[in-house]
Amino acid sequence: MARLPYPELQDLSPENRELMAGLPPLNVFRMMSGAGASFAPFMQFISAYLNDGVLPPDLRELVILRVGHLCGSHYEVHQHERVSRTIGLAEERIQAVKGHIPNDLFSAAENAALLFADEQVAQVKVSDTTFRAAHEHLTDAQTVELTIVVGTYLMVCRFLETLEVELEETDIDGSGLEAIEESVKSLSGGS
Amino acid sequence: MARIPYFDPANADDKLKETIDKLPGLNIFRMMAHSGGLLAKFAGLGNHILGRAKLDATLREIAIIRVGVLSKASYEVHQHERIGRQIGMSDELIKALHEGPEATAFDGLQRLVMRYTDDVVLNVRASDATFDPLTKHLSHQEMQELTLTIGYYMMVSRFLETFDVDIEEEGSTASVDLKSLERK
Repeated sequence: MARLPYPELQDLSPENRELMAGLPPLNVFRMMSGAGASFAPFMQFISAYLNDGVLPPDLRELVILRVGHLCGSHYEVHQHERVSRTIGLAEERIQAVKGHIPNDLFSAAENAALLFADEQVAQVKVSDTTFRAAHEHLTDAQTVELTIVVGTYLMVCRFLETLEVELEETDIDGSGLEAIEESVKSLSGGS
Repeated sequence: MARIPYFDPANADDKLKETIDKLPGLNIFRMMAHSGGLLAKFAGLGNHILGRAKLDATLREIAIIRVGVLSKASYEVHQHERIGRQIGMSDELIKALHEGPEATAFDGLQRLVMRYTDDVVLNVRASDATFDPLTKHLSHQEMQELTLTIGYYMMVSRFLETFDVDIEEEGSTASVDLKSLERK
């Protein structure tokens, strides 16, 4: 059982209720709908890199999975393995991201980004060597986005694990990313 | 010195230009502008955490500064100690954030927030020993806000440190305006 109760729809603000109506039925969103005014901006923020980001989606998902493994967040890994499969990542690449990096199943850019993620998680500041190695493959915009994505899943994993958000009984269909994009766009006054 | 040059606003499209103009001229935003549309969403979430949460402002700043201290993120600590002073935190209280949860400057609830922050940062999942006592003082919404605040500033610390974002020069007045955030 989760550590805090999932909020009831009728107890939510109109904005959060409206948002919940369009989002995929995932327990992480059910829980966070109880976070008040921060919920909608959180969803707009994640939709920005998930749906309009500048990183290649494969690389982004591999990095997200890596952070999930490093944080020991079963829920996060489960959901993003589903997203990864939906967008076409090969199963052996999905499994390999649990293990030693670099790995031949990953491109040079992916290996560099994963090593960057490892260092960022463990020591906050990425070393010069690792920064330069990733930046050789990624633009300034992509390197900034990579750093933000790694950091965001440190936040998400902490939210999930500390509040003990449970896996759903059945998986949702598809990646769920389009539904996130649509519901964020339809927020009154939201852009 | 920053690891890559700050974004040149001359290269911004109209939407990004509008975002940059609305934000305070802080180096963190000048660097993050490289990310284009993500800047507005990143700042939007931060503004809500700072200006629209139910969580008490002093408890919030205790958590934020502590995350900065644990992350050795000098820019983050610098900016939020400024905010801490603006909202009336004493020098003694701010100093205690560098010492740890058992420092004598904390009252009971502040100490619980410090213990919880340390636990979440270091162990991902807070133990019952730090989680349970806090729930007697904070609402469910405030527990969520505190948890998101800790995570958000772990991200911010990593961004600042990995890009070596410079602290603004002495006398810079660029700052987040808490009052204006609360009015929105």
